Amino acid sequence: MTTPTLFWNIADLIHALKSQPQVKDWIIHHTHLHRLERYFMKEPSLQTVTQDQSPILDQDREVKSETIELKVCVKLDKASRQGEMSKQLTQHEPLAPQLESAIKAALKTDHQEWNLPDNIPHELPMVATADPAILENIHQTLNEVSDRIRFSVAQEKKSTFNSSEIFLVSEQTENYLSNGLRFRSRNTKAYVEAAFSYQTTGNQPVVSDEYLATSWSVDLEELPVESIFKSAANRVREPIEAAHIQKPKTGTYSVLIEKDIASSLLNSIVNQLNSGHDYQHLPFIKIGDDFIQGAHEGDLLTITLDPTLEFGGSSQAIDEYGVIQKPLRLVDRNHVVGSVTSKRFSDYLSKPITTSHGNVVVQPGTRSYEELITADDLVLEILQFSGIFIDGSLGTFGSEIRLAKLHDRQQGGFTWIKGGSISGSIQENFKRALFSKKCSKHAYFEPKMKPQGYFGPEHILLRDVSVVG
Amino acid sequence: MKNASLSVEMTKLRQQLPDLLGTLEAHPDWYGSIYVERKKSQTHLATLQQTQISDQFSLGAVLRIYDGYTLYEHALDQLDHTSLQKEAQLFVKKVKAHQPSTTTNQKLQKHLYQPPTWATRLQAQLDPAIASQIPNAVDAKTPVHFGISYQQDPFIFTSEQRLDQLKSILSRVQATALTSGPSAVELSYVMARESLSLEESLFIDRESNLSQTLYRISLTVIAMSGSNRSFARIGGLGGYEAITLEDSTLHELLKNLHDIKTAERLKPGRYQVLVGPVVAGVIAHEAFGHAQEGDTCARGRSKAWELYHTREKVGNEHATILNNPAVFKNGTESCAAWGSYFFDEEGWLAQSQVLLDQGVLKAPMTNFTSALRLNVPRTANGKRESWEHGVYTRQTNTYFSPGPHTLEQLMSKVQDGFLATEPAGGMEDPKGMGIQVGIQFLREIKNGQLTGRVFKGPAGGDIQLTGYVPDVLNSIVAKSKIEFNSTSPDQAQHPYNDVGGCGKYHKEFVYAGCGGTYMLLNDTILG
Repeated sequence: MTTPTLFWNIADLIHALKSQPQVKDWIIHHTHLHRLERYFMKEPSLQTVTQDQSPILDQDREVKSETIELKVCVKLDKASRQGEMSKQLTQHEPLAPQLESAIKAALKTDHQEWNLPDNIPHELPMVATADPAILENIHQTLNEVSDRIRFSVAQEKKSTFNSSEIFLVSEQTENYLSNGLRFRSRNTKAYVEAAFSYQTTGNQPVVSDEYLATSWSVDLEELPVESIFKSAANRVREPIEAAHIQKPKTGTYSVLIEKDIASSLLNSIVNQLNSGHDYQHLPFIKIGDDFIQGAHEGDLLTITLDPTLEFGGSSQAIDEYGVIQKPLRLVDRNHVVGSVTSKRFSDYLSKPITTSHGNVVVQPGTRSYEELITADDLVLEILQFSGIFIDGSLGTFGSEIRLAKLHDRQQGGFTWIKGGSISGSIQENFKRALFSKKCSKHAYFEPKMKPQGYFGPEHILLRDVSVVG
Repeated sequence: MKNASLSVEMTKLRQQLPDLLGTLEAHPDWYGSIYVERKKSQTHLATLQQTQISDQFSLGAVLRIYDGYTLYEHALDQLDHTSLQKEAQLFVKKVKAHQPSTTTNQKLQKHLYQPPTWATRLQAQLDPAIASQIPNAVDAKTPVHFGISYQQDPFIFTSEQRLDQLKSILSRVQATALTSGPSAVELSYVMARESLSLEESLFIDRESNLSQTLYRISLTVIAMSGSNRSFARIGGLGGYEAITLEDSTLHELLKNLHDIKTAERLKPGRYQVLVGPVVAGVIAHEAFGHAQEGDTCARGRSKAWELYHTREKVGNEHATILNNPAVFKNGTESCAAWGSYFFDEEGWLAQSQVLLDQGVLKAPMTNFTSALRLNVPRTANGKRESWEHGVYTRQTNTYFSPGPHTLEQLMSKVQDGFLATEPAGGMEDPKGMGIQVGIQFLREIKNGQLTGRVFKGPAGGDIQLTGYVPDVLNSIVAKSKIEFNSTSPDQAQHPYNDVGGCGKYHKEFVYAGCGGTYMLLNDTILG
């Protein structure tokens, strides 16, 4: 049904596509997005901790949007080739010119031919991808989380609250494929950040710093608001109170990373198991090869791509080609045993279709956190990088160290570290890696990038990492 | 040169919007405004296996009410008159329901806002590209349109012509490879991508009715040999002339790829380094830069705010950094720089701003709320990733001021150091004043000459230039002219700013230009 303000609807679009003889296949995504955001801060005139740290509400936003994305494939006069293009359509302008331009443009492109699956699944697996509280009552949920933020700020008596943000996102997408498949997907996301600062007082030279803790998740249970605030407040204060923070000495270290960095590194390198890389002659590790060349000591990687992980960052029941997504073992004790192959690349390379999306699930090790920080004479435990940059092709990474602890097995205890940078290589530093036995989940969403999900060791000890002090 | 006009669709929409202001300003203390954004972009891509096209379209409005305490925004894409009125009324009801109680009022500081009149706006020093498009006798009701200037209309080419052009670039890369080092068979992946977008925006409040049309165009060429990668990227705001690809650019792309493949690994340490304009721009962006973003200052998260008040020096006499959204001629080119516009997304007209003056910090860049909370002058730095995202204080084109030297003169000062021209990202710690600038590779210089040796990082990846911002800014030895290969005085007004982007708090992405001139630094930590 159209309103006076809309020129057409999805049924009109499908009808128009079916009536175009050059059109071979299509995929339509029709998404409704609802997003709420609040930004809190302290009153700027209050520079230090006061009795009342009630945050003021700096900004309050609500967003409602609707998008229609069409991927259309057209027949070309060349054998085994087809044209295709992706286009965002608007219902506020007539359909015919938009569709005509999409088909005209698609006819100018040139792709190897692929086909949507003939078999349509009749039932989709139940995969938890959306928190009902966010989906069904986003306003009330925002108010509840805002109260938790205010409460968390009020609990803190030593560090100064600076700012906080909360985002809640609810997305519902109807998908229509030309092979007759129609399915709905629902996704939610939540984000919280907390920034605290701390400053010494008295006659000593003033030392001040701040710490920003951030967290993404799909559901509220995985968004530990209170501990995010506590962590930020403690991590800014403890190093300064210890009164001895130093830069690391330049050298090679064993480096202990947390789940957020582990997720980024492993999600990046797993891309080299994607058949799309094989087709495009990008770096590709094939079945039968070692995942980490020369890895023979420590904990060997066993990785599964799991799209069914409850509230995982990259969980989904079915992909955009209409293929049911299932867990796929990619690496088994460092041997590559699987490739990520979508329908498209299955047709291109004559390989079996496998799962094309999922969370990186890593088998844990056997060591506790205490065993990991004493595994070597010196272990540099990274609490926060300034911003890790990863080269997915080379498998290298680097970052300045925002905050770390240098554990000394011989002397016992640790020294606070700030500054310096690391320069690493996944292939080199995972060779003798050790994994914690405790596992936890991590989700991350970055603009213009695919969602990232992880479930695996909470800590990973990398070896032989270059550090500049 | 022509100026881009406002589309028919946006012109129609503009006519209905002023009526909404009365609805939004439902209380005498409230300030209401409306922002509308329409973006149509098209990407054409060619690789050795296929060609691809994708179109994106986005149209949305942001209704805003500022009540003296909080900025409320309601963003939507149902833009017919009936829906807009209905949503505006619901929005006002929501804001009324959120008003703080009398008790809370006593604790909070109210910052009321009166928008500037045109008489006030015109007192500012505006770039001629802006001033020339403001009608005479302008008042609150006058629709004022700013259009980017261009020579070659970028929209006249068909998709077939664009794809043919990209395929010819692939052929040029393969042909050039035969003479430039790696033989054609060693190229494992080649890609050429053209992106073109038409960006229009409207900003309306009780004192102004503004619109702008920008043409944003870029060309990226990537060549890979195994895992090693080299790329070239050109572009700007304007016409097709912004993406003229010279053979010399392709030669450099392939030479870099060849040299990266045989690069040695750098031993971490302190070195003399001659950074190119884009790397210098990344240093400026990350240094002051991010710490000079007003919302970061207002949130108590920047050391720069304290140092601005104490006037403690954070750099030497060469350390002058500007942020300027009004770079309508990019270096010696006729197109505008990537981070430019006529007004920001909160309706403030673009102007150049000195952030750091010979090592002394000036007032920060601001968006609407941070200017009010910090009680500093507003600047045109309120930007969003899109209408669906919130506004933050964001950089536009950030660069060091030029110096007096030629490149040759700077090279002659390097006894034992490196040349760094290709950046690989950057990051900052605005409170701790740590800086991190990624560099793809280094070329060794000894006694003023390139030795031919090339270095990657200690692990074979990018090199990180890190340190404490004041240390880095105090280590600047000399800077080049804008026209660094000429001994004559600079004709160009602004240094060249490269095509780039910026992510804030790891989630909000906006376009930004990074540039400057060649800059020689002593004793710099590389590893």
